[in-house]
Amino acid sequence: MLTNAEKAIYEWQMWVPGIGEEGQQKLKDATVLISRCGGLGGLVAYELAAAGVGKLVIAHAGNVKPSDLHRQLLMTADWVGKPRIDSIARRLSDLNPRVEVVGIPENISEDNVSKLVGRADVVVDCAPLFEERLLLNRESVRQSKPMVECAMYELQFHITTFLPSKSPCLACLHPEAPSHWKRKFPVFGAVSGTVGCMGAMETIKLITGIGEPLTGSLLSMDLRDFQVMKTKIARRKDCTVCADADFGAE
Amino acid sequence: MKVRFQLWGQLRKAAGIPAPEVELSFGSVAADAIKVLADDFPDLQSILLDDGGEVRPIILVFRDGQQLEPHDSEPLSEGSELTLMSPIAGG
Repeated sequence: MLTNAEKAIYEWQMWVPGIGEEGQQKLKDATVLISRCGGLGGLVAYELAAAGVGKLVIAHAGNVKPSDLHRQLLMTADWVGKPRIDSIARRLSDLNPRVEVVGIPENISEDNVSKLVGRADVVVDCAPLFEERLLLNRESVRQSKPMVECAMYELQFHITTFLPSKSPCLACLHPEAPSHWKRKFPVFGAVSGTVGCMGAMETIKLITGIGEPLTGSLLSMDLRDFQVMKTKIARRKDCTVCADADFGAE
Repeated sequence: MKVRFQLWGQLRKAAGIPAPEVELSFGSVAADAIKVLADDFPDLQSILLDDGGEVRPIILVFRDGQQLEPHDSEPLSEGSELTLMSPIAGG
């Protein structure tokens, strides 16, 4: 049940058609796993916390560096040298103390992926390495968990949603980690923040059932000239992750 | 015949222009067009092609809003437009 205080906080978003108290209760009851909470995942987490998602499980290792601060909005200058996950938890709690934040000071790995995905209703992939993304995808498909996929480079980004047994998966889009991808990439915080907010909205749609998620479609945008492209992702029949999944009457 | 590309991600940066055109013989398929593009723009070669000169499976190829397998056998036509994206994972 929503408390009167919660109804007062979330009133304006509960006016959105299809949300109401029922939709807000779904958000309160939901658990979302966010893999990496930097420039992109930080905005996903911030918007989901503001919207009243009940529990956020956040996996992010390392200490805050000066080079984080231009885009990772949950990190602060006074926290340089201290654990990122503590800054994340502190900032989210300041924004919305009603949200339970489970901070994991680790990145997604073979050792933790099964347990972390198992705790979530929805997974949001925001990692800067393909190896982590593909691992999270494999486990999300195995556990039949929806995964919102967000990625950016320079002034461009793309976003899609994978629904196990109903759509292609990340390994259909990227069958292997490309060798040319570098851990450090050109980025403005406003770009990762833009796609982060879109990823948060996509997650809210999945939880509440409003709107049409980007299932099977890749939305790409270049903020340099505001070029937008929406394309259909093809399912690879030889996909090593989802080829054996049940696609119904397809 | 002429085929136009729309380049996204690191491909656009490597080529230096967003929408190059290539000249192809009739009957060419998407992989042929990508190989010609790589010839025209040497900085694209290592991203688009493997050591054997074949199109890397990681390259995302779209025609008319639909993703193609890199080795799709449907012939291109005059004025066809292919969109190429290199995988991105910035977070």
